[in-house]
Formats: sequence, structure tokens, C-alpha cells
Amino acid sequence: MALIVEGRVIGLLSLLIIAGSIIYYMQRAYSGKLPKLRRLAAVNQIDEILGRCVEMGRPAYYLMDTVTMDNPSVLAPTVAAFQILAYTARSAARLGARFFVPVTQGLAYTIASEIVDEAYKAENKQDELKLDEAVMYLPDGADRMYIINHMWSDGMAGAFFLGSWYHKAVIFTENAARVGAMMLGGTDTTHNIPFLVAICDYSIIGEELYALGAYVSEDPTVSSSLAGQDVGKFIAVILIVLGSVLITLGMSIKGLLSM
Amino acid sequence: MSLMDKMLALDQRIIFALMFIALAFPILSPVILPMNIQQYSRDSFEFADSIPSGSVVLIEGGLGAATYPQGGPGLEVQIVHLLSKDIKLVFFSIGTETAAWTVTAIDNALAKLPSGVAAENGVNWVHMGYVPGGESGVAAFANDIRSVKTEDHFGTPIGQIPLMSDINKASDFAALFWWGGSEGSIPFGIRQIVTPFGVPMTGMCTTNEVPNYTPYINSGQMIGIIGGVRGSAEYEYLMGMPGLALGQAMATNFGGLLWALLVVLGNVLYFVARREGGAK
Amino acid sequence: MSDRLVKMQIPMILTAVIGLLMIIEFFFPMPASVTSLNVTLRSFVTIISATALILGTIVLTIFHTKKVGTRGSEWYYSIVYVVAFVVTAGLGVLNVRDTTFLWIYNNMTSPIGAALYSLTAFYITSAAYRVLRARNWNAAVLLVCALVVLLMLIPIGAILFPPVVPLGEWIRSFPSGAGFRGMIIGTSLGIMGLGVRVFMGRQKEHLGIREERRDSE
Repeated sequence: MALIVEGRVIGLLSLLIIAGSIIYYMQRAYSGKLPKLRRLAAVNQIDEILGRCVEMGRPAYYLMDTVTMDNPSVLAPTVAAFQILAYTARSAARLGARFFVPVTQGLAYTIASEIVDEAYKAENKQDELKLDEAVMYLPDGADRMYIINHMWSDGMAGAFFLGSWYHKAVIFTENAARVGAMMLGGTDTTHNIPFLVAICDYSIIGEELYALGAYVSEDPTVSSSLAGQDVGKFIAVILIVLGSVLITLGMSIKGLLSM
Repeated sequence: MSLMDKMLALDQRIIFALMFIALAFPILSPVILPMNIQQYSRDSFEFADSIPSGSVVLIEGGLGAATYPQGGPGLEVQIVHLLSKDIKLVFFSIGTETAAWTVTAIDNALAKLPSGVAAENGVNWVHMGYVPGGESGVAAFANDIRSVKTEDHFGTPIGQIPLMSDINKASDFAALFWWGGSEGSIPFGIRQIVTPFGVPMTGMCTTNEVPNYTPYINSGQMIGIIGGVRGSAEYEYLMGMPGLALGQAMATNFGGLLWALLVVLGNVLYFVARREGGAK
Repeated sequence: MSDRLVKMQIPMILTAVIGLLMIIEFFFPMPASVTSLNVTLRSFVTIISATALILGTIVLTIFHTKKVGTRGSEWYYSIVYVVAFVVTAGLGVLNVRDTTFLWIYNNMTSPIGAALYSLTAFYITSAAYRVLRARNWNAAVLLVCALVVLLMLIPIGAILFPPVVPLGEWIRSFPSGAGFRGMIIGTSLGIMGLGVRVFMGRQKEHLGIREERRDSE
């Protein structure tokens, strides 16, 4: 019997190298050696949007679209969106911005409530939080009309569209833009990235969603892991070039890929 | 506010009303206009057509209430296509709602079957129902169907289903058809079935997701794709079975042209206003 | 049991152990006992998602019942919710395959789902009218590409403007395809990074305990 399932050797090797690199950079950070990382502008934009909401006396919306956490492809961006929510809610509490987080799944709703509650407690602003109004469960289907109507009636001044976004990306961002909100959008669902980039004032694309989650954790060992991910990118670039050259030379790489 | 400013910031409701008329009119009084077949749709159709009679294929039914109008007619016609060629079909879904909609597609397809085509449940087709766990569920299903499912969608034990007697893993299938709708799940099939087991695959997704999967088509991991309602309409057209999708695809003609006209109008107004020193 | 143990340590250990089990099963041939354990664990997903639905329904029902009781703003809409919930849930509990229950699903839930999805067509047109303007060269390229691909996609486009087909196919297959490929690779790496951080217990905001960690360390 083969030691490794056929066809998955390359996958396993990639996993070991990339996960190993991430762990390596995190371990280095423990010993004080921090990698040089490009600062994501989105970190400042979160505070800028919240600041605008405070100045205008209007709320900020934090929308995550699909949060069905039993689906692995939705789970990862949802977890990243929760990580950013933890930072954003705390900033909103500190600055005194009104904050509204509609959630479309029961499980995600309880987690979002917990995160927002903890954030306000951390800033000693629990008195300013009405949790059942700030975090609201709106079942999928009821959410669109409720959120659109309230966007217009509240005249929201800022909005965050982070997480696993599908067709609602256009519906919500277009309304937010027409209301005049300043927006930050980011998703890993590649086919919806163009909508968020085109409509939002600020956007983060693809993996930056995960990177932003790491940045705002304010833990250098966590953000150092991003350097490990870059090792994966270098490997991908090398493999793309190598594969292109081999195929151009007429050499098949199918056997290698099916190892 | 000048007329130009008003036009540049055209009220959403006017745009909505125009779009509603553009879409509703051709649906209410269908006008069949000429249409060319996209290469992706043709590839997908020809792939299905090339499967030898007697083969067993796997179909993921991922259409729900929101996406069935786009993909449902195409799936129904494909079921007719495959059953007519005496190909055995094994369905499964990775969502509970989509599992139920797959039953609708099968029922509708069976009603369209030409007389004499065998379509007995358990012999010519079987619906294994909901497979939980998303991608990891697909991986487990691909490796050992019986470890994930002990009965089909209707409660028949797997041991009593003749079609399943020699089937237990992905390599037992001649092809994979992934009707993913807007689930975003097509890569599950590529990663868990195509790559490890070498099963050729085609699929369907909503129109806006097509660019997402072009890398997989270019690399040969997928053979064409049925994109949205137009893809379904093209399948109907290629099968010579005009149906719901063809009528809806005609509506997209008017909707699409209106979209293009509005964008062009917006730009013309923008340049006029800029020349007058208004627009930014 | 301490709050920290229940809210942080146990979930993190569970995440790491179960995650590793799934990874090991994917890459290595495993004895039937491990596969069967993983199948059981995966079936928990169904139970958890059903629980999430029940949880959400309870939250929503409490919210609307309270609203009716206190005559909160727009409380009359909450009556609609309560009545719809009682009727639908009641019929579902009596017999989920009952024709009345299926009638509600087929004739109310299903068309509402399709109609809400179709809203995209309206908003995308509104957004395109507002955003797709050739303000500079970059925006002009975006505008031209959008028009070409749209005309390629609508059935009559190729009949009216034949060159849009090869041009649109080229845009979709090369610049767009290459960009998407890059994004897919980047996103996959991002998910791996997130996975490692969560497995190692370094990132746990999703457990709702960000502040607890900072206070306790």
C-alpha cells in the first residue's frame, strides 16, 4: 500500500513547505526577529471610516454576507471577517461610532454578538452598547430588504463589506454608495472582487482579507506569519515559470502532477 | 440641480423600471432571435455527447431556488440527453435545499423523456441525496461512497440499489458533471475528484462566475462550462429541445443591450458635462 | 471549569485535533476506524448547521415577540413574522411532505428566493451607469472590456458585433484568467496562513475572546 494517497504527493509537499515556512516565521518572531512587512492601508481606513461616522453622527454597518459556517469555503473568510470585526468593533466603541452588524446565520450571530460585546467591554463602553440592536439576526432572504431600507433611513456614513461575498455584493454596495457611505470592501470570492473594487472607496482583494485579520490582531507573531505565506507565492511563481518553459519545450508534466 | 446633473445622477428607480420592462417584455411575448453557441457550451455538450452508452456518470446537483431558473432547464435537458444515450446517472448534492431541487430536475426531465427510454430509479439513475461536510464531504464521498451514504435520498438502502452494486468510489465513474449554480463549489470537484482520480469533468455555474473557472478550463481540468441561463439555452438549442431557458436567454438580449446603452449614455453625458466644466 | 478553559482552550484543542485528523485522512491511507471517525465528525456538521437554524429561529422569535409585547417601532411587521412562523412551522411539524407545506415552499419561499437573487440585475445596471465612466485611461480600459464581454455574453451580441466573440474570449481567457489564477493562488495561501494561525492557537478572535487574551497575557 502506498504511503501517501496517489495524486496527492505534490499537495502534501506544498502543504509541508508552506505551513513550515509560516511556522518558521512565527517562531522567529517569538525570538524578536520580525520580518519587514508592507503595511496594509486598510488598517488606517477602518479608523477613517469610523471617524467619519462619528463626525456625521451616523452609523457604520459591518456586513459579512454569507456566514454559513458549516461550509468550509465560507468558514475561512468568515473567520477572517470575525477577526477584523473584533478590531473594528473595538475602534467603534473607542471612537463612539454607532455600529450595526446584521448576521444571517444563527451560529455566526452568537459569535458576532460575543465579539462585539467583548470589544465594548474592553473599552469600558458597555453602557453605550445595546447588543440586540447592534448585532441583529436577519435570516437569509429577509436581510436584503431590511438592510437596504435601513441604509436609507439611517443615512449610514460608513460600511464594511468583508467576508464571503456573493451576489449581494452589488446590491448592498450600490445602495451604500447611493446613500453616500464611505466603504471598505474585501472578499476572497474571486468573481465578486471586481464589484467590490469598482464600487467601494477602499478595497482589499483576495488574501488581503486574511492578511488584514492578521494585521489587526496587534500580535507581531501573527502578522509575521504573512512572510511565510510569501514563500508560497515565490514557489508558485517558480512553478508557473518552470511549467510554462517545460510545456513550451513540449515536455509533459502530467505524470508529475498525478504523483 | 441642472438637467445634466440630474441625468448623470439618474434616479435608480428609472433604471429599475427600464430594466424591468426590458426583461419582462420578451418573457411575456417571446421573440426568438438568432444566437451563436459559445465555445464553452459547445465543449461541454460535446463532452456529454461523447460518453459511451452504458457508462455511469456522477452529477452534483447544486441548484437552489435562486439559481434553478438559470441552470435548471439545462440540467433537465442534460438528464434527458444522458438517459437517452443509456448512460446511468448517480446524483448527489452538497446542500440540503439543492438536494431537494435535484429531485425537481429529475422529475421534470423524466416528464420530458421520449417514450421508450429506460429511466427506472435505482437502475438507470439514483439520487444519493445530501452529502454533508462541504469539500471534505466530497473527498470522503469520492473515496468511499458507502462510508458517507448508507441509503439514497428516498431512504432505499444502498445495498438494494442495483445501479450502486459495482460503484463505490470516484474512479468508478466515466465523467463528472458539476451543476454548482452559485455554490462556488466547482473547485471541490476539481480538487477531490478530477485531480486525484482522473475523472473528466464539466460543469455549470451562474454567468458571473464563469471567469472564475476559466483558469481550470484553460488548464484542461474542466471541459467547457455551461454559463448561466444562456448556457442552459444553448444546451436546449443543441439538443433541439427549446424550453424555458431559451425564452429567458432572449430576455437577456434586451436587458444586456439596455445595460450597454445606459453605460454609453452615462459616458456621453459625462464627457459633455466635463467639457462644460461640471463633472469630475 | 474556568471560563478561559471552556471558551478558549477546549475549542482550540478541538480545532487543532479535528483539523489534523481531516488533513491526515486526505493525504495518507488510513485504517477504517479513522475514516469512520472522520465520517462521524463530518456528520456533526449537519447537526451543527441544523442547530444554527434552530438557534437563529429562537433568537428571531424572541426578538419579534418582545417587539410585539412592547409595541416597539414597526411592531406590526413582527406580527406577520409570528403568524408566518407559527403557520409554516406548524404545518412542517405535522407533515413536512404535506401539500400545504410544500405549497408554501414552492409558491412563496422559492419565488421570493429567485426574485431576491434577480435584484442583482437591477442594482448592477444602476452601479454600472454610475461607476463605469471613462474618467481616466484605467477606467476606460475597464469600460471597454466590460462592454465587449457583455456583448459577447448576450445571445444576440455576436450576431450584431461579430468581433466581440474572439475579443471577449481573449479578455476572458488571458488577462482576466491570469488575474483570477493569481487571486486563487493568493487566497489559497491566505487560507493556509489562517489555518496555521488558528491551529497554533495564535489567532482566536473568532471565538469572541480577543480581549480576554490581551488581558490575561
